[in-house]
Amino acid sequence: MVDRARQHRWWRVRRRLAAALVLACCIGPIGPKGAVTAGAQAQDRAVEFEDLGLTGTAEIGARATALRAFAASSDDVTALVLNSAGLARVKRIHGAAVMARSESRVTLDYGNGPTGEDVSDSYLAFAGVAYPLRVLRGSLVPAISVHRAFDSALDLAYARDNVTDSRAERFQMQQSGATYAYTLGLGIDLSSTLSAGVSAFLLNGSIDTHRRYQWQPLVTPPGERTFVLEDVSSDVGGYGAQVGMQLYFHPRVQIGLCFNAPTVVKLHSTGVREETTQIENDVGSFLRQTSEGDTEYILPYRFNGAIALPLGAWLLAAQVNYADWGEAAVDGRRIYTRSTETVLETVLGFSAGVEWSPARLPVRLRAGYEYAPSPLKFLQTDRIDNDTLARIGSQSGRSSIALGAGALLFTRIVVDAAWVQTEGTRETTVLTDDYSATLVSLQAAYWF
Amino acid sequence: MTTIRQLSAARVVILLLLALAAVGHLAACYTLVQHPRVASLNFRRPQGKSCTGCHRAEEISGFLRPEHLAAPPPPWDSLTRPWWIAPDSTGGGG
Repeated sequence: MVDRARQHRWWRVRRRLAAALVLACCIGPIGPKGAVTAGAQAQDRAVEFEDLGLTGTAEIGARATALRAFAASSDDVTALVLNSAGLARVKRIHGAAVMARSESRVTLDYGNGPTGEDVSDSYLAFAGVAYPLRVLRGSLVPAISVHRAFDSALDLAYARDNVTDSRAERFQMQQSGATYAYTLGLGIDLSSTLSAGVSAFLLNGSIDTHRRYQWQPLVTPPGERTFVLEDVSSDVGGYGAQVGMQLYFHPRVQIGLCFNAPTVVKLHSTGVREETTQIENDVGSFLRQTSEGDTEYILPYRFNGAIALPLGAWLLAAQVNYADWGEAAVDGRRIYTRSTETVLETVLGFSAGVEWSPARLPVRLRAGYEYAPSPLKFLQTDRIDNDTLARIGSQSGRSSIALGAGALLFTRIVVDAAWVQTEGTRETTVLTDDYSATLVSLQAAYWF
Repeated sequence: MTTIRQLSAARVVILLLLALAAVGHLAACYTLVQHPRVASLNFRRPQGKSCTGCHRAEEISGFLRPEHLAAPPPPWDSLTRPWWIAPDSTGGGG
């Protein structure tokens, strides 16, 4: 029995070494996790979309962040990102900047107690300018902006007995970085009740991933330990576009539709991997590899449909957000399991918000709620080998509650603030994944 | 038959931009950047003339504001006044 376990263990070590050598010769693609992803099947790479923050939604503008449903009522420069048709409602030369602070935590529990680390960051979330052209009828408003499109900060850690691979293992992953989108767009009135807009953007950013893990056999005697360090730096590029429209078919009812074309995200990664094997009698090995490669992620079409009801001092808004994540691809390959089931699935989320503008007072109060299900059908339970998907049995989705306020100062300056709390839980038979995040954003805008 | 799913991301982006360029071109029929039939009024108003000389203030407001768009409550409505129209007059532009 012990011999069979030892044979199995050595077979796994030899397989890892062989895969690492192949990688060292730059054969095959590498992902942001470097060597580990080189041997991974496409199905096991689905988790990269979430790890890199590509499944998240950018929080643009403090007013939109608090209201959560802004595609039908966007009327400032943030419309360039949220629904470019809203630019047509901007009648004054207008600039805005948004600063944000986020704190998030992913807690993993393999049944031996939850583990997780807090990640916090302060950053420029958005800056943009809209310049309405002088027209004699309708509206024609070009705009330009930069915003934080993807937040890739992530900190994962766990320790467990991996019975499948017959080893005790500890894993830690620390990732930092973000990707910014540089956007150019235009809003125009097509008729007295219909506005349209288009925008296109280029992505630029960087991601640094540090993975550290170790394992030792569960069988007696556990005389061998393996330590692995991986550092991968990635430059991020890419592009995408959006088209939107807003329809005002009744003074109390506004409709907003926004279609985001597939977004291409390209990573150029360089990585270093060091593996040290230590055996009781001081006989061991050390292997250092460097690697370089490109990965292309295709994010699917996304569609937002919203309705806003301006009722005097009150604004009610609701929105649905649709994305067919089954269309996502890595290096041109869709992501299926061996039984041809998609690992990422279609998601349909919704959000709603309310804003109160008391008569003749230069303040606004608002609140919102959003439900955003996870596109992942499976969780990766073996982060070391990246080869064990477990189906998500139940998930709460990510629910966000938001509060916000705005003030008009000197008839020219608008200051908005928002606070958002997001929670979500997913469970498989072996792993529970809890997510919690707090975001505070502050927006300052000047209307010339 | 080519479906939208078979189109590459780059092609979709280009098609979107071309489609909107075409729509924008046609939309100029509604959004006017040039005054019809009076070229001298384009962008630069001659001294001593104002829009109110020919149009009522309500008309001018209607030209520049979507028909069914409810105005935000005061004082936020001040942000929706076109920048090229002076606060004390609706006839400053055009």
